[in-house]
Amino acid sequence: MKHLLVVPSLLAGLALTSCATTPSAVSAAEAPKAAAKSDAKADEAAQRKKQRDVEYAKLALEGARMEAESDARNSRNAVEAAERELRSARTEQEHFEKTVVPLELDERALSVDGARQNVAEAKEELVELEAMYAQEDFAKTTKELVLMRGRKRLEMSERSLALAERRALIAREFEHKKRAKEHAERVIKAESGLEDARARAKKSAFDRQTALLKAEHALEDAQRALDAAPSGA
Amino acid sequence: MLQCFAAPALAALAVLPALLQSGAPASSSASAAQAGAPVGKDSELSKLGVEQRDAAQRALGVEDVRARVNLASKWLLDTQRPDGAWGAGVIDSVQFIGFSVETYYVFQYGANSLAFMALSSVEATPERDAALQRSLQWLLDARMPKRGNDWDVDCSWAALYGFQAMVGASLDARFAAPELAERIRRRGQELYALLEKNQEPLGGWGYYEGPAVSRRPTWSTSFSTSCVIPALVRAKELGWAVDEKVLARAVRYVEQCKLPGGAVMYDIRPIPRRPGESIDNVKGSLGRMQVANWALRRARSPGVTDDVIRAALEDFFEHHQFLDVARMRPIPHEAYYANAAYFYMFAHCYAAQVINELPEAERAAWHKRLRAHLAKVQWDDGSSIDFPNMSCMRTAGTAFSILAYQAGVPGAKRPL
Repeated sequence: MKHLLVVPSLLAGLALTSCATTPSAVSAAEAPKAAAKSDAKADEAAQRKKQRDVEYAKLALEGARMEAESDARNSRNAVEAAERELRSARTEQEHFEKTVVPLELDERALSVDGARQNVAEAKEELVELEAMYAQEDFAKTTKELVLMRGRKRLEMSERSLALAERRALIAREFEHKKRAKEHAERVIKAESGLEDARARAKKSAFDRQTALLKAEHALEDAQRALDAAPSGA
Repeated sequence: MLQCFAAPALAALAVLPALLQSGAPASSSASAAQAGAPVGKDSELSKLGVEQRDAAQRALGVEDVRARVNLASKWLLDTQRPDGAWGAGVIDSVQFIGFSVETYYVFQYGANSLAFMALSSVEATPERDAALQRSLQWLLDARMPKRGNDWDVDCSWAALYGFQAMVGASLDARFAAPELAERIRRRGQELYALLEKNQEPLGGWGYYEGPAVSRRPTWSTSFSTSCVIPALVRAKELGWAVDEKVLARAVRYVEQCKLPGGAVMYDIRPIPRRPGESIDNVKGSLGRMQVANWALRRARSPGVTDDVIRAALEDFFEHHQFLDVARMRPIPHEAYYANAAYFYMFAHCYAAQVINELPEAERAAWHKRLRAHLAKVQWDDGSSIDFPNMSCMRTAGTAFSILAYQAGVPGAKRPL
């Protein structure tokens, strides 16, 4: 904020200086004197410009420092995010391999065993029911209705078993492999992402140093130009 | 069975207050709740175990029994309607919402059949004879029960007990006038026809539809089947048109329900229920064991020896607390081993009947043990109930108690 306050005061000073002389006061006899005055005005303007350049260079240096802080923060955040993503990808990959795959395979196996047991029970019940019904030739239609349910239940149980076995096979032979590959790809991608983030951070640090250096040099140059100007101007 | 379990408990909450005002027996769940005693199943079971022993020690003599039977009979006479019936053939408990409309009527018919048999077993008086006549007229005049709907086959209860009542009436000399005897036989044959129509392929009778909805039901239970077998045997002896095969199927069904160890399956299953706290454990089949042994003995099934009957009765008394703790519980099968409240009176009635299949010399001691458990649940007004909902349950419960008491009274008529 200091620089912002300096600029208006300089401009006000210049305005007051311009009101000190008027063209109506100049006469032909005084022409050499007038020319000298004109040179002095030009010198004053040049001095003012150099003064301003110094102030502008100071402002630019401050901006460059702020920009550098922001870039450094962004680079640090990007690297940390990439590290987190890599940790997460590796954890999930390990969890999938050590926990999810065995759990899902066990669940599938249980499902197959349960379906197989249902088939066995349906078969046993049907055989027993047929044997009980066969004891006497009686209520044939009703018996057939019940036996049909029993036969259909056995058929559905067998189909359920076949489905459970297919689901287990698909899980083992396709889904788990596909998901394992997806986890591996995610880890590779996260590793690449971290490398990129670190490289970008390095490049960004370099660019920041360069930009700061340029700004500092620009201020030095402006200050030097101001200092080199004739002091009486 | 879904419908059986669907009956909600709410109804009991509405019924219990009324019961509590009318002299509940000390051991009932209702009075325990009223007294603020713990009513959890475990605490009740423990309490009932003590009560069971006390009850056995308080065994009643025959004269005490007569007094109790008189009180129960008086309750029947007091509550009989002018048309001869007990209860109403309509829903009078919200616990039975959802059943077929016909079911309320067939429950009434079944309960009236039991009440008729109970009254016919007690010592005759002019008042009782008149009530008995009115009851018989109602049973003869009432329309024949029908199947309620696709799943509700509760008409079986009317057929099972109506048929028994008609067989009992045929054997009672008070109804031997030719015209009346013919009406009794005709109604008996009509009820038999309903039984024959609804005998499921495996030979039993049930009250709900089974795995397939069909004109002939496909599910049955051991106890409903057992209860009618002795009447079928007697009907054949009376010369009624009872198909030998119908009886043989029913007997075979009950024989197949018997499990090693003495338990009797609730319903026949190609593969029995899993062991554990199952209704098919001895502790869940205490009543079914008695009715099955009684039925098979009457049908001369070779497997039911005196020792088998004794063992089942010993189990009945040893594990009696499982019936005690279930009694008056509003949700069917909610107690240990899936015992239901309504097992209680049924179980005691048939325990009393099967005792009489043993040598005469040992019957009195068994009856003495049994009647203690009847007395302890009899209400001050003489009635008995085990399942608090429809009015027919009180009629049936009181009738079961009379039939059980009377089985142990020397010289009493035995219509079952």
